[in-house]
Amino acid sequence: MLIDWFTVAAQIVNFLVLVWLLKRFLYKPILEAIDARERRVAAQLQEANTRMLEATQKGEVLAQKNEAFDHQRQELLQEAVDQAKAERKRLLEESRAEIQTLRLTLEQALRDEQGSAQQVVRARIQHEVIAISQQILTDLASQSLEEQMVAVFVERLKQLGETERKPLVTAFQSPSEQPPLTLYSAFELAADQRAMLQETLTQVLGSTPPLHFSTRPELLNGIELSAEGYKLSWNVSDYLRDLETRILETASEPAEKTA
Amino acid sequence: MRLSPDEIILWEYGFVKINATIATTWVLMLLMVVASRLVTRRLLTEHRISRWQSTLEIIVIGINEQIREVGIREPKKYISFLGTLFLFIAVSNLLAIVPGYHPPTSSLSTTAALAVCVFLAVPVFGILEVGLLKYLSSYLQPSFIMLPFNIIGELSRTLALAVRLFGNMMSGAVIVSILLSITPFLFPIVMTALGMLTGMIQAYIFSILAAVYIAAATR
Repeated sequence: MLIDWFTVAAQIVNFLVLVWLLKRFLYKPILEAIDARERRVAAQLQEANTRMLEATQKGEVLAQKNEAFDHQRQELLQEAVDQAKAERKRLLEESRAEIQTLRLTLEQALRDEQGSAQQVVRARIQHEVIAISQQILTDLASQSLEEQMVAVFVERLKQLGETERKPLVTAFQSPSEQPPLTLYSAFELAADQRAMLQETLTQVLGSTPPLHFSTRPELLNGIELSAEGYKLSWNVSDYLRDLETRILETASEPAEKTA
Repeated sequence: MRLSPDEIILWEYGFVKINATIATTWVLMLLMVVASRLVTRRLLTEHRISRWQSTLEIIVIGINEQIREVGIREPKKYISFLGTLFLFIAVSNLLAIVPGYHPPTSSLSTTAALAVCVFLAVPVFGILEVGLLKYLSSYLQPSFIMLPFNIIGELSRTLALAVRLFGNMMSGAVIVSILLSITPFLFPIVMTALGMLTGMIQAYIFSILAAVYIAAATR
């Protein structure tokens, strides 16, 4: 008999036990491990996809930021360039203005210098003119000229207006220890000249005044009638003083006006 | 000359007797379970796994795919039964290379036991999957006249499973033992290698036929 039924039964039991054991120790753990790994791989793939998506999104965001940054940088650069241009322009204008001011100051200084030089020249000229005139008149001064001067002086006394004569009269009438009228001349006057002057004064004042005669060489040529607070003169010295005064006035006028 | 390892009795107590078939089967079971336990004790779910784990995964996935290719939609339900069938027969046959080893599959009792397991598993899986009535009605297909033929077919295919495996394995073992006594040393080795190939093919045929029967019963 090839079949032993006890062995068949035992083998059936053995096989079923083996099925259970292998299920317990082989198929189940192996299949679970495979499933777990597949899940893990799937999860990792999913995560990788998610991360890739995130990375793509971040990349896009970054690209946008970069673009914005570039734009901003360009704007800032442009702004800086504009500012620099404006600053340059402003500095140039400032420099121009400063140069202008300096130029004006320099011109002014030049003018001032020129003016003072001119002033020096004028003063010199004036001094020379006065000196020459004084020299000429000193040289010309003489008795005959004095006579003519007395004549002129007498003529002037006669031609005095009411307003000019009034202070003379007031000075003559004022009470004083001193002789009220003194007549200065460069040279000693002759008796007839004194008489003519006395007479003329009598006519002008209406009474004979106590007249005192005196010489004063600095008058050069001329006569001066001096009373208390009053002076009437005609002499070369006065003319020269007038001339000097006028020259000084002309010299002290603003340089621009002269220029 | 012994045709079956059943005849080698190791221990006997009345009706109960432990022969070489049963003992070898226990050794094989121990070997397979211990090997599985050693590998699956530290299973990794990382990308890098041990080579033994990788080997076992290849085997398990291969079996899974074969079952799927037969037409079973959920192979995981049947992998324990069909996979164990294949692995037990394959390991049993491959160890024929060990001198003095008598494969349990060369015992008609073992092949009959396996065939009986398939014979019983087919209706059990069929009823669990499609229900009792639908399963039973499959015996009336395509018409009730076919009922006796279907039943005969069921029995005959079980017999065929048992006898085919037994015949192949027994013949291989017998041929090698005969050739060892009459021919030089080299020829039996070639025959042993051929016997291993036959053993693998038989393991494949046995489990694939079982899968086909189950697939037919569960649709």
